[in-house]
Amino acid sequence: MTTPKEQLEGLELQDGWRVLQRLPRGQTDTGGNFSAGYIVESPSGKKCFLKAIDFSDAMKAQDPARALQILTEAFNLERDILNVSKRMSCVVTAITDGKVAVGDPATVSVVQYLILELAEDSLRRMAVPSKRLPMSLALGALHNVANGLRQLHQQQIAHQDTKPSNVLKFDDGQFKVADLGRASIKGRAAPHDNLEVAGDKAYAPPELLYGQVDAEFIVRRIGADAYLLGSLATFLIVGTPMTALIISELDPAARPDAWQATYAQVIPQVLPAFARSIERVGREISPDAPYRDELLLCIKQLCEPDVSKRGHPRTRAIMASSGNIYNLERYVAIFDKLAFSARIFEQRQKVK
Amino acid sequence: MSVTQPDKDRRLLPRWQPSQISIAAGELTQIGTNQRRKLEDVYFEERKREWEQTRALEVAAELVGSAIVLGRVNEVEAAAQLIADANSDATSTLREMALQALGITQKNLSPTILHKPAPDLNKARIYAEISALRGYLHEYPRNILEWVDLARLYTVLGQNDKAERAIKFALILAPEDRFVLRCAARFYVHIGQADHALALLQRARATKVDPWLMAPEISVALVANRSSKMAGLARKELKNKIWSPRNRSELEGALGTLFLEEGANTQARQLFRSSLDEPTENVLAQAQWAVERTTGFVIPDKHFKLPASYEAHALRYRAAGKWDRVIENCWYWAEYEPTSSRSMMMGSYAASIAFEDGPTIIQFSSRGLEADPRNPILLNNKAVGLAYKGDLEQAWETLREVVIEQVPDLSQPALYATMGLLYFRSGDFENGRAFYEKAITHPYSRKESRTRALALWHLVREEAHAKTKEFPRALERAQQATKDMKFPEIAAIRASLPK
Repeated sequence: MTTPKEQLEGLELQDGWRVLQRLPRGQTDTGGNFSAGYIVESPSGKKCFLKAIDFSDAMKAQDPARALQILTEAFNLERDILNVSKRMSCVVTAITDGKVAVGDPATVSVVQYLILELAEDSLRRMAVPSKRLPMSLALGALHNVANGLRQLHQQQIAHQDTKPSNVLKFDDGQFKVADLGRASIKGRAAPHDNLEVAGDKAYAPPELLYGQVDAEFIVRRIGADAYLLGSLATFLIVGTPMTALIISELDPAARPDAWQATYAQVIPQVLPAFARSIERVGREISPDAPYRDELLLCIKQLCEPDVSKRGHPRTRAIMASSGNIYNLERYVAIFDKLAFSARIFEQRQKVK
Repeated sequence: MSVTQPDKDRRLLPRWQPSQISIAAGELTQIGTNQRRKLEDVYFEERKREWEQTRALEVAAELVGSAIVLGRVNEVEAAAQLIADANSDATSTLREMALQALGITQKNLSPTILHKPAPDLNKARIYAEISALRGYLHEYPRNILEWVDLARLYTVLGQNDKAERAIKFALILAPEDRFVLRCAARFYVHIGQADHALALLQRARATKVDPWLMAPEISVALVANRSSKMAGLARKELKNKIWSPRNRSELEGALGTLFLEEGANTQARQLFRSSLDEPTENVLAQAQWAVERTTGFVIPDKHFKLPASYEAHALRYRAAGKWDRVIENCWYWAEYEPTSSRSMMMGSYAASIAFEDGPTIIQFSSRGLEADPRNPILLNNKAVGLAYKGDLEQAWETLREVVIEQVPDLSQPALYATMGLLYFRSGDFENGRAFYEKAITHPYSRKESRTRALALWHLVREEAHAKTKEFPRALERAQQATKDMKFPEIAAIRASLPK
């Protein structure tokens, strides 16, 4: 049986938007369990993406009042963050939002929606093993993602769920960070605040998997974003995020599902596992590639398991007393430079 | 005589193994109060559904990655198989990870020595490992396990200053880490600074809560001849039974040794029995050592199937008088624990007692001297080996490196006896007898009957070799003095006497 959020196809929305086609789950990539994705068209003929949220889904939960509260808070938070991010060049922005009534007059339900820019593709679908992404394109994507996260961080927003499916490519060749459903704003409560890992655990930084949750917003959430950027770079090279690599290198007794002591106590084992993971990543990059060493260094700095040592050392030194020690500005520039270097390298390889 | 009895005072000090071996042996698994984490994830379920629908490689990769993180690899076998397929487009790293998830490739971290050990230390290999580790530490200077591994390699080569620098670095980085503290304590005992080792352990807060640190604190206190600050607390905590058999095993062995030294044999036996519930090979060796020092305590055979229990086997064969098996196990033990000279001492002891096998004694003692060049017992043993081989000039030169009066009391009778041996083999029987007599009447020999027995029987052997008129008298004296003694060494020496 279809739920109200799945019944929007063919409807006309406020301001003349028309709902064209529902996107199957795998194809939308971004989004959560309580949402459905559609392609919509503006009165001017511009195609966009619609994310529909159905609050009636909360009624099926064990505690409907609590579920409704969580759903409402999550929607409002995402809408507010999207409003703040409207001027951000590397974050998928909201065009408008609204609500629509679905169903017959007797059983009418209200579906709330957000209309967002429509992407051409996602990094998840582009970076499949059978058609490896050229490094120039992968590094260009990393440059855009670093920039998108930096823009969010400037507004005290942590994304917390950066992964290939949440990086979208647009027809101008630009990549943008999408899905702010797991984001947090400093000083504002979010429904996922109580979760140790706000986003996808498969990509999460190790400290969170071991339950080391810092009280500081910057350390806990912006620090996690820095790790996720490095983990995304690992995915683009190896085909799997850094987290899986590190954990596969650990003795089973020291893995997050088995470890019963603190993160500080497991760090002596995590650090060598991390070093071996970096070595593995290095084996996947051509030894002749001019960007190899600097890219590996970036991953090493960004994915550093000791959160107090994560990020660029110079940035950490400058920002130690105040501000964001995980500021990604340097990486925006580095990834841009490396993408350029990769382009030249790839052209030379073609000539050969 | 020849050599000093090895392991007269065995203490349950931590074995110093490479970090990866210690991890695989579970020695770094901390005792936490946290519950095992339940890592559930909605994305994992979504990925499983998507995998069922698509059977695509990229979905398989994401699913297997998630499963590794969440500890659910048993649910993703088909996906892992697709990645592991040699014809798949997966990267080599991804394929390795999938094979690991399938349990097809596993790192060989078994401590068991598979090859037959060579008598010579493979220095070229050790230098290559040091070079690789130094390069690694330049890149990852905060990785304490590798600092300790580096210290271990320097210790094997006898380069103790460099080893200490590496250990100090690890201690600065992680003064409370179990592995660092255990290895640092082992190192400082090795270089004769047991007091410093004890201070390190007693200063650490972790020692008060961790049985893996309480155990070395008790053992090192015994070595340093000081009081343990942990013994009382350890007894109390053991009664509370809060630790798993594996976690309490070493502590029970250490505490059992302390009780045995204090003469509390009943309590010691109880602790040793309990220590064998889930022992490490080191605990097993300590229990075997205890078997010979108390009555009514037998170790079930099943325990001797433990991997790498070379020392326990060597001790057991020694008690049974199977000296060739002692030597064989000592070679494996030397390979397994190259930082310790005890295997070399016992190997050379067995080769001397039963076979008067000069070349083997020299091989064992020379290898031991690589790591511990001034060890008086090893120098003594080497001199004995050289004498048996007929190289008396070298034997005298080796023995001259030791100032007998400066070595601990327990080693002095052996050194005097070796002087006696060298005089005998040089044809100076009078001086030979005089030095054997010094060994027999040494204050330590008077209170330690086995040491006296060894000196008496070695004199008999030399009188027999030299075919002197004194032989019957020496034999009569030795037989009289040891008639009630159960000591396999006596039977071995008797059997070696010329007919």
